[in-house]
Amino acid sequence: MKCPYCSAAQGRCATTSSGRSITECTSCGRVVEERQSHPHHVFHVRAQDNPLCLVTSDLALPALNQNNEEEDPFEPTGFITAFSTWALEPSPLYLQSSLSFSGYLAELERTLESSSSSSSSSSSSSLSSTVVVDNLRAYMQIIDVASILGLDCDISDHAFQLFRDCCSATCLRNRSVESLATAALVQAIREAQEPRTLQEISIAANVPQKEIGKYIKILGEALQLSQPINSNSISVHMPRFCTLLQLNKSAQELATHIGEVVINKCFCTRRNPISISAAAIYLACQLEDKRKTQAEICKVTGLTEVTLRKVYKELLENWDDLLPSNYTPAVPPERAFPTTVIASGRSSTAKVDAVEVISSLDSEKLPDIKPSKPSEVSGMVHQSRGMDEAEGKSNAHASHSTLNQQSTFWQSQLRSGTHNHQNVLQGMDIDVLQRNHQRPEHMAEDTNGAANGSSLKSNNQLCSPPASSASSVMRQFSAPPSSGPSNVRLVQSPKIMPGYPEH
Amino acid sequence: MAEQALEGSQPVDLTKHPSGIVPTLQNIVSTVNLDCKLELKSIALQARNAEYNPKRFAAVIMRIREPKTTALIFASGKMVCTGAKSEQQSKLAARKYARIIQKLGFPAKFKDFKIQNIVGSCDVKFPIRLEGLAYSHGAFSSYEPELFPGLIYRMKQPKIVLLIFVSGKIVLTGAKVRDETYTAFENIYPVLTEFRKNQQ
Repeated sequence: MKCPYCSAAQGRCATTSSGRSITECTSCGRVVEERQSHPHHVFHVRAQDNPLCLVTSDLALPALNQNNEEEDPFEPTGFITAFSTWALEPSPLYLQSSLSFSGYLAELERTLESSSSSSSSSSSSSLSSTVVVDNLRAYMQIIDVASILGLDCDISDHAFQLFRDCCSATCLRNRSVESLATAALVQAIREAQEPRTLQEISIAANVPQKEIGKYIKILGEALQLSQPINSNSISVHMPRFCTLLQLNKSAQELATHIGEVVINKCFCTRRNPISISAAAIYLACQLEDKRKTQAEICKVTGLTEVTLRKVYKELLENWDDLLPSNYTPAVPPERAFPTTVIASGRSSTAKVDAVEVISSLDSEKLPDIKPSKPSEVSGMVHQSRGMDEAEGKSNAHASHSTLNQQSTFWQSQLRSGTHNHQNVLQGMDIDVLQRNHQRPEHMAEDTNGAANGSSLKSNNQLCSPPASSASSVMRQFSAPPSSGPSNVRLVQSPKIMPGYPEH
Repeated sequence: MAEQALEGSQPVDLTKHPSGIVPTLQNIVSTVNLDCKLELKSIALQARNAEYNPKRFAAVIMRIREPKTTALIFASGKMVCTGAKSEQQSKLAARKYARIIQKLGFPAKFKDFKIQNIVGSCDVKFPIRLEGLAYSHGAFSSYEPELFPGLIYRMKQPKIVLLIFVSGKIVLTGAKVRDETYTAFENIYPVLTEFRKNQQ
C-alpha cells in the first residue's frame, strides 16, 4: 500500500493511544491505514458447515464454561443446536474479523492532539498539520458529494488525487478547500464520463456554480489539464435523463438525434447542453406519444419550466429539419405539437379562440386581423355586415349553436371551394336566421337550393366554423375576380332546429 | 457595424492583417494621476455631470459627452477613464476631466497617463466548433456551456484573453497596445478556421 503523503511503499504496524491498530508510513511517519478488530466465536458458523448428527443429553460441559450463565434451554432435550454446539468443544473457536479503512481521521486526531499539547510548535509542523487538515476536509467533502451523487469510489479516489496534486503544485492560501475539492470531483467525473450537471454537483456540495467554475479553471491551470472530449455534451447527458424519465429506446434515440442536429446546425441560440437535451426530450416524447409533462422533465434535468418552454419554441421553428430522414413519427407532427402556442402547464383549461386557421389557403398575401378583445372576435364571427351591434349581441347565442351543428357540412363545402380556388361564404346571416325560426320548412328548401346551385359563387368574406383546436389565427380574405354578384351569401340550416319536430 | 464601415472605407493592409479582418476597438481603459488630494464631496456638489454615493462606491463618477466617456475620480487624486474608442480619445477625455478638476479649484496635474486595457471585437462570419477547440487547446481554453456560452481562450503570447462564441463573434481583451489585439486575432484565426463548423 502506497503512502498518500509521500508515496512510499513501506509501512509498519502500530497502536494509537486509544488502542486502535494503525499502519504508519516508515518514511514520513503518518497514518496510512486504520484497522478495527472484532473477536467473536464461530459456533453458529460451525453448526451450519458441519451439522452434527448426534442426539445426546449427557455430555459434560467444560469446566471453563461453568459460570453463572443460564443453562442452554435446548440442552436437556437432547437436541444439538446452533446455540449448543460450542459445548462440544473443550475450548470454543474464536475468529478475529478486521475492518481496514483510510487513515485520514487517525492522522487528523494525532495532529490535533499534538498541536493542542504543544502550542509553541515550530512553523513547519504547523504548516504540515494545516496540510493534513486541508486534505482531510477535502477528502470528507469529496466522499460526501460522491455519496449524494451516487458515484463510484474510484472517481472519488481520483478526485482526491487531483486535489492533492493541485495542493502540491500551487499555493492555495485563502482558497476554499471545499470548492477546490468539488472542482476536483467535477474533473474526475468528466474524465470517467459519468455525466452530472454542474447544478446537481453545486447543490450536493453546497458550493455556488460560479465558484466551482472558477476552481475548475484554477485546477486546470495548476495541473495543465484539458477538458475531456464530449465530457459535457448532449450525448453524455441524454441517456441518463431518458433513463430517469423511463423512456423507451426509440424515444431516446430520437431525442439524441434532435439534440445533435440542434448543436451541429446552430438551430438554438443557447449553448447549455442540459436545456437543449430537455427540449429535445420533450419534443421526442410528443412525437413518440410518450407524453411527459414539462414539470417531469424539469424535475429530472434541473431546469425551470420557463427555460424549457423557450428552448422548445426555438426548436419548433425548425422541427422538420430536426427529424431523421427515414423517421415516421407515432403521432403526426401537426397533432403532436400545434405550432402556435405551447401550453404553460399552469392553467388547467385550454383557451379557445373564435376562428380556426385555414391552412390550405394562401395566407401570405392576406393581411392579419388581430382583435384586441374576445368580445370583438365573437362580434366579427357572429355579426353580419349590415347589422347593428345590439342586434348582433342579442342573437349571438342562436347563431353560435347553429354554426356548431353544421361543422361537417362546413368542411365538405370548404374542400370543394378551395379546390376551385374560390372563397365561399358559409356563414349564417342573423336576420335570415330569425326569419327561419318562424319558417323552418322554407329555410330547408332554400338552403338545399343554394347549396346545390350556387356553392361556388364568390364572396368578399370567409367565415369558418368555431375552432376545435386550442388556439387560432384570424384572417381576412379578399375576393378573387368573378363573374357572379359580389354580395351573394350562402345560408345553411341545421338538420334539426331547436324546438321543432323532425320532418 | 463599425467594423464593416471601417473595412469598406479603407482597404485592409493584408501584410498587417493576413486574415483580412481588422478587430474594431470597443473600449479603452486608462489611468492617470492628478497628483493632488481631492475633496470628493465638493466635486460632486459643484460639478453637474458627477454622482457620488460614498456608501456605494468611494469615488466620484463623472461623465462627458465628447468623447463619450466615464471617469472614476478617487480622493487620492487617481483617476480611471473608461469608454473611449481609441487611445487618442482616451487621452483627450482624461485631459478634459483633469481640466474640470482644475476649474473646481484643485491643483490637478496630468501625471503617468497609461492605457491599462483595450477591448476589441470582430466577426469571422462562420460558426465554430467550440467543443473541439476546447479539447485540442485544453491548456489555454475554458469552456463551460452551463455557466457561459462562450469559450474563454487565454493566449500566452501576446497575453490576451479571447471570448470565442459559436456564432463566430470574437471579443479580445487585456491588451495594453492596439497591436497586441491585432496580433492575437491573427494568431487565433487559423485555429478558428480549423474548427470551422460545417453546416449541413
